[in-house]
Amino acid sequence: MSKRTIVAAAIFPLALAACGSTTTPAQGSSGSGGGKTVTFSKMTIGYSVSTLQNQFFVGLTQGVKREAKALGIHLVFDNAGGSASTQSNQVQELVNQHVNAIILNPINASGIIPAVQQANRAHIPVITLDRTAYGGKIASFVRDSSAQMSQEAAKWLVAQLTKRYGSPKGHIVDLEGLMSTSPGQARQKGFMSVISKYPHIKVVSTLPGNFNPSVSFNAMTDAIRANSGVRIDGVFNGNDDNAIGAERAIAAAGLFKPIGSPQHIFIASIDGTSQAFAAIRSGQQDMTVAQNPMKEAEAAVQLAAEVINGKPIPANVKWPHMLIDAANINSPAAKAFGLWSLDLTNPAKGNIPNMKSLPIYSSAGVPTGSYGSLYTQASK
Amino acid sequence: MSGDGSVGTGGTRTVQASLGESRSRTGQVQAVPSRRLWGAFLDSRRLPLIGFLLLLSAYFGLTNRYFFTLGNLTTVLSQVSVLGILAVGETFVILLSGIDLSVGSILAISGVLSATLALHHVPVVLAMLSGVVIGLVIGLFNGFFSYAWGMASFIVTLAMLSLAGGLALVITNGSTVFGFPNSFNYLGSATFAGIPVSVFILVGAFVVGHLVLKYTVFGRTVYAVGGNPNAAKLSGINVTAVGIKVFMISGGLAGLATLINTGRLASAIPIAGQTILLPTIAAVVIGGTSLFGGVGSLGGTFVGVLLIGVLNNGLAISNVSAFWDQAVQGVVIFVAVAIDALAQRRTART
Repeated sequence: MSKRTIVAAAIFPLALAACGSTTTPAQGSSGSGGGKTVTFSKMTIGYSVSTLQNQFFVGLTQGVKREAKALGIHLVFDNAGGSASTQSNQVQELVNQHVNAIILNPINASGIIPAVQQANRAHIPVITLDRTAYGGKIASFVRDSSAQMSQEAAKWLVAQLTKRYGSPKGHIVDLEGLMSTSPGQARQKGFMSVISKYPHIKVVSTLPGNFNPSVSFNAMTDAIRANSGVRIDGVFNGNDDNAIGAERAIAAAGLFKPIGSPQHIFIASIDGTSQAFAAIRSGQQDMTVAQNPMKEAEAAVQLAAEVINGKPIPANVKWPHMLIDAANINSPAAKAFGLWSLDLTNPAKGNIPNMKSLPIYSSAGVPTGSYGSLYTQASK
Repeated sequence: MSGDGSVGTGGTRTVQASLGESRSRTGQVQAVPSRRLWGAFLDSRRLPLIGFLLLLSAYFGLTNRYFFTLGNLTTVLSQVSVLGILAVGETFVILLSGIDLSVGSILAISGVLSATLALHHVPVVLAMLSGVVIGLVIGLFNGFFSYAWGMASFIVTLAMLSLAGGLALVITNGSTVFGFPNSFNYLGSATFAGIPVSVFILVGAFVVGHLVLKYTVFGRTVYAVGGNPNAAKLSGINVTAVGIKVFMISGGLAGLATLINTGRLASAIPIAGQTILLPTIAAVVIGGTSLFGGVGSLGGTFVGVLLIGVLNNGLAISNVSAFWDQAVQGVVIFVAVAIDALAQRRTART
């Protein structure tokens, strides 16, 4: 199925540019009732988020809400509050309410399968956001790649160590994320896949930071104690909350040296929370590999609107990430990418112009081109 | 306490109370005046647990040369300071045969509220005081509905766990509060004579709590009410007032612990405290305080807190993987309490 969609996705814009296609009902008209086109104001989209206890998921939710509002789509919003069974029930309720499409941010990729299958039987398209389901039919999976982001952070660390010592060597502390979650595992795996190639870079402590600053603070304090005789060169953090704990522990132990000092401990991290951006600006943190959950979520809403009208949509959308450090945090490029966490309370919708250059990826993650004018209604 | 509850468990309570009395009597017989403070703080029935703690420490000390450094020992105390201060309040509540499930949520909401005040240029001292005041007010609410209204404290504080934890997320929109003046972080990140301020507060909370429990009329009434609320009421004790005060102590201490937690990270986190409730109750119960009330001591709780702290620190220093870490903690706590229970049974037989 996904293969067919990808092909269609690649061909579709060309056909559209040429003369307008007969295969897509009433494209271009913002829906004056012709064919089976549903106008935005008649659409209802259901959205279930795994939890709101982390700024990232607040960003996802904000993106879904503000795009739905901007397009005039009715949104039914559910928060599963971290419980896989609650989420399963919520999706069943959305199916019973006959929403037109479901945007799903699953807690558990396996546990959600029956609920997805139920939506499939009711012919309600399901779009997964940030995490997917391992079964059932998924119309599109929109996300950033945790593995790639952690690899990028790890490569950055390797580059800094190479700069410091002339060759890739040194001592790194690894503060893992919550290892019971898929991002926690993927990031740890991604980090190790890069670091294990450098025999002279030693991971002196691997400790759970659990995506929690308090836990990370204690873990980093322990790591500093356990390696009293060793000079720690850098810390890899499963996310920015871990990084905050690490930074405070380093400062509390009196080991903080400003960026540029030969004794500086490099802090590499992932996500791009507002606190991380503030820490980068103040010189406490070196970098973060920022995602953009708000735009990912806005894309998911637009994809849902398209698929409701029977238009082909890409099966895989990998949103790009960007390495943010003190050198580029104020740059136009960073602004164009979007420092999402600084924008959480801004009610204006932001992404539609950018959607025009949305890359298309195959299910293997290989870019197969960029998507031109998928969002016919939205761009009006 | 509701009438039904007291009638139903009245029999058990009487037994507990008489046990408690006989135990404290033996404790007093042993005590020589000069050793009385210590004798009561770490009574002999905790010796098996203390022995286990020492064995565990010896193991970590032998396997890692950094464990027994002075720096690491203050690190352990500083790491358990938040847990320990919460456990002091929880010990009071459990001695009263109640339970306070809301301590973690108080940690969250008074943290984000007081930090938000500091962020909006309220004088830092006032903002810090507000953290404690919020804890006291929530404690007043918990105590009032548990003792004046007659609801089960389990339900009242469970509702508060959800309400306060939820409000902390609502107020902050799920985001961390940061960027407030650095002086707000004093209790969590400053040191005095090379020792973290949080360690002084931890030790202070245990010492003052111990003195209150053992050497004041109020302290003795806590044991009396926890042992048998009906008998306490009949002997003229204002059970409602004692209950409200005890929950205010728990709430206020949680508010104080917040300032350490927030100050350490220079951030107030709306999900702070979500994982600290069970360790808090565990520390109290490992330390020998009975969940049925009337029996226990802060000395025991201190050993319980140390056991959890040493275990966390020792495992981290030994670089055990995250999953094993959790499993090993379960085994060690189980073994500690099993040895303790065995020893208690032996003592009871002889």
